[in-house]
Amino acid sequence: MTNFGLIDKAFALKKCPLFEELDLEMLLAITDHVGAVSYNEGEKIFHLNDEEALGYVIVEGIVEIHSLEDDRLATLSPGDFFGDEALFAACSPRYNAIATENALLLTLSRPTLKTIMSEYPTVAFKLLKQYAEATPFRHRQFEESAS
Amino acid sequence: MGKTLRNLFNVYPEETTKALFFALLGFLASLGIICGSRLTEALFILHVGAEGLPTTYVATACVAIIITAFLVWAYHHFSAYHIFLSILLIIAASYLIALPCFFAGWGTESTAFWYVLKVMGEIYFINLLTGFWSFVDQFHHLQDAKRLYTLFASAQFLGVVVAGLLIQTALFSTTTLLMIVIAVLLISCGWTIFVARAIPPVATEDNFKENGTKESISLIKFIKTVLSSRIAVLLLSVDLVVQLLMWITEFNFMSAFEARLGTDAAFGTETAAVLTRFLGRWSSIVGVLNIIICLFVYNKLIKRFGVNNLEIITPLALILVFVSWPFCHSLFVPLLGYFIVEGLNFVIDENNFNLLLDAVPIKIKYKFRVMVDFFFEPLGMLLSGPVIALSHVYSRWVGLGLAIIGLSLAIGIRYNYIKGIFINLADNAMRFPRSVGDWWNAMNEKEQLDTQARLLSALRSDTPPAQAMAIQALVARADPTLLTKVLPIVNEAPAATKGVFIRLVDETDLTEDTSVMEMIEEWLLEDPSPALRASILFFLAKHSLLNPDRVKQELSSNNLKLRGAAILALQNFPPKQHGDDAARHRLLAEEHINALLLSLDPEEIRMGLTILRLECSPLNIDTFVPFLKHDDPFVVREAAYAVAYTIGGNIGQRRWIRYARLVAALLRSSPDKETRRHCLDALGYMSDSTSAELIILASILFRPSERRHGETIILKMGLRTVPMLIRLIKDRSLHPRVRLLAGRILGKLAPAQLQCNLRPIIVDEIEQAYFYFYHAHRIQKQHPEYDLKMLEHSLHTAFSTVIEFIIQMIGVAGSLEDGEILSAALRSTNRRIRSQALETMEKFCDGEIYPLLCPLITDLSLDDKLRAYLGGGRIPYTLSELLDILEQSPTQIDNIMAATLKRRFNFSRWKDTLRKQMTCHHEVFHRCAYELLES
Repeated sequence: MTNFGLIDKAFALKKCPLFEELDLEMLLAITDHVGAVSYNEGEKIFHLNDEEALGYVIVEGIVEIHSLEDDRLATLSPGDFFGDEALFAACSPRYNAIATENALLLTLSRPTLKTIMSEYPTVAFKLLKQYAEATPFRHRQFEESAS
Repeated sequence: MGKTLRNLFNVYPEETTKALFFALLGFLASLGIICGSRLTEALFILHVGAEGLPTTYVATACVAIIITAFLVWAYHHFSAYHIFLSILLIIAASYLIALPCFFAGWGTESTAFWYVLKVMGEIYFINLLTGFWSFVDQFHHLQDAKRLYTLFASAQFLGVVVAGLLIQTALFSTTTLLMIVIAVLLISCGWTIFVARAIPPVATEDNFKENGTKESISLIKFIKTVLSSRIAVLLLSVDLVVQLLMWITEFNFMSAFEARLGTDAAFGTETAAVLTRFLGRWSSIVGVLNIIICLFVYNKLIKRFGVNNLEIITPLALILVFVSWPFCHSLFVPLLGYFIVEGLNFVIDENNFNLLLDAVPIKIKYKFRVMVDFFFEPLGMLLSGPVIALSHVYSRWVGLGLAIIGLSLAIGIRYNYIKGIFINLADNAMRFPRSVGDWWNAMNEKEQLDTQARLLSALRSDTPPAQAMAIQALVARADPTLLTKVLPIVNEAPAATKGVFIRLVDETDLTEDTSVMEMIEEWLLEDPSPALRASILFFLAKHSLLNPDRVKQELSSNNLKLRGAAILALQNFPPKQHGDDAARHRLLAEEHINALLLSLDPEEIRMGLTILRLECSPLNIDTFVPFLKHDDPFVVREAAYAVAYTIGGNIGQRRWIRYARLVAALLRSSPDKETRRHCLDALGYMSDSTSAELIILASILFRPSERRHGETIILKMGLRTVPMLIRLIKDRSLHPRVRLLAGRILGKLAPAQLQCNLRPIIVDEIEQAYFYFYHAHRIQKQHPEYDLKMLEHSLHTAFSTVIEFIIQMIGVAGSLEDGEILSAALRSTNRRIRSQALETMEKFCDGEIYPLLCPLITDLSLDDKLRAYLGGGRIPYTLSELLDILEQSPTQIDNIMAATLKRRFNFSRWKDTLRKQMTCHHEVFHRCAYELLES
């Protein structure tokens, strides 16, 4: 996509659950520090053990996440966010991400995400919520108590 | 020996090998290129004469400009390493191709041959210099550069000296000398490959900046960025002027040498000619002077005056040369000119330029260097041709005029350098205080139109969040002409979007636009949803546009907003009405408001408070205050809003101050950010130094946005807060965050007052930082018999806090908008960013503070930092002494730590001391003390 400006980035971020509660003023402050990158179908977004860790928000296209053994772990669509694990742990990603169709992604660096979270705790809470939901131990405990 | 040399060259032990590698590369590359360049220069003067120089300047400039286009492309696609290597290889290859001409004399009878040779020599020289420094730059950041680049430049000058001696001795024929040049250049290639493989490069700023994606910058954007940066424009201008001056000076001294020394030399014996040997000798002498200046003078000058101040040296020296030239008939002044062109130009200006580049916007830095080296320098050369040809005997006067212009530009750089450095740091920070309106204003007309079209398209979409955001952005544009496009779309939008439109428009001046009000009123005729109808009626009632007779029946409605609209209509319509009807309406409204306020339903209380708030009557404030302590947080929020709104509408009344402590208590205790914002506003509207102090004291718990808001509020209160601010900054018992906010505000309100009071505060804090740092690293080693992990941790934390305070306070005193950017940059893992922050610190600190602070914030080894503590006459304390000191510290956490450890290790009389301390400490300390005494 050509000329993906500030306002487009703001609208794209708004569609991501992490940022959906932020208003335009906040989103504009963030978009100034968000990059837009496009990938062709089949192109790898990052590789295992890439040195540079970034967070990605999908604007257009589909992205598949593959494990070390090349098993498909997830299929992500517009509004989804990935790459955050490596971003927080300050390490290289532990999985592959591949665009399965032409994709446009927004990228966030570690300092940017850190600043956003300190300014807008709602973003941090959303992330925590996602992690809590994805943690198997919590699931098991919840299921056991429910049964 | 090694240590002495390291000290002499200012090299840290761990970087000795790296420094030697680059120094050797500088020497080899310089030896090769200078031998070639000086030889071609002498050959040209001997076979063509100085009168041909202006033509070579024009030709060199034209070729260089063509090469520029190629190099700009090359730097975008290839690394600095590959480009430098290619340059070395191309130069060696071309000299190799020229070699047979010298052996066989092919083409040497034509003057064109010597012209080509001279132009080649000049082009290669410029290329190699740029390539070398761009390559070196990949492996060093600004602080490295300040220490090590002089060493590398000295190594280059050593190459110049050796090259000059080789020429001056006349031991080698022209062809032998050319073969030496080729050999040295090929050795340089091998060494470059080795260095690039052995030394890891320093991460670029890109990794820290923005989003990690490397932005491709178009030529137009590049030019716009250059033009928008004052320091970039000044650097370009000064470079152009200085280049022009260099060529004018060279033409003048070469003409003087030619006239005095003659040009007799047969082909093949040029190396033995008087002029060649003279140039070789003086090249060596200037090279030695350059090394001396580089190693012993430049660094001291940088430390003493700063890189920005050294820019004025060359223009000043040139003014001196051009003024004295007509009065001097010996070779002294021409040689002085030679020294400026071959000496100062390289030793001061080139080094300075490498350092000043850090003030240019990061994203254009490398292209900027290429542009200067390959476009502006050739442009200077190109212009010098016609200037010299036209002015000829008057060229020295033209030079004098240009030197004066150069001096003015250098003074401009002096003032803009540090701003440029800080803008680069600040570019990494998010601009949170900006409103949507500010974003609109930051766009150019084309961007505004483009954004406007995208927003209108989003407004037409069927996604409510996108529509809401589009309305927010379009309403913030506050452009009545835009309304003609927005209103028809909103008119067709779903009810939820219309509701959002009403809410957002209500906060703007667009409510005064009749087309907006008419459209909203017409929505009532379209049988809207109950929620939208309530919103419309409430909106109209609020703006006194709703006749109470239309909604009287809603006074008993179950829909609270409808009921509220009816009460509001009774109260407001028609505006400013007197008489029985109006009195009856208001009485009825009052009854309903009281009923709402007495209700047990928090929603109804909120509606009552909202309606009363809209009256903005100071008489209502006592009604609002009790609700500040209500159990329901939303009622408290509404009450806080009502208090702030009412005080804001009746500013300037002294009686508000009696509510200050109550509001401040709510500000400290409320977990709701909206409530805290209203409390801040209320305290701000009270506009009293007492309320200002309460805001600052509460700031310890503020979020960044609240801190900025609080700062804006106190700034509006003006100079009467200054004594209070100074008192708070000096009070070490307060949290550093509180003192910093006071400092930040004082820095904006009365910078001179802050400067006056800052020095003793900072010196005191630096001493404190040394104390924490040293003992955090040493105390456990001194007392292995105790487990002092907790104390160590506490001392480390205290050190970080104090350093943070110092850095931010220095930043604030240096008129930085946000000292946090500076401290964040100093904590950055990116060494380039850290190095820029250190540069900024150095500029903002006075000459005595920076050396004190330097060991604590630079990348010195731990041993060096510990030595700095002892070197300053400070003494190491034992555990007992350390705890005694912490016990007396004004910082509460130090007192608690001392009391806890004294109790843990059962120090004598710890209970008595603790009881004594309890007489004068705050609540938290008391609680800790009780726990210790009772455990």
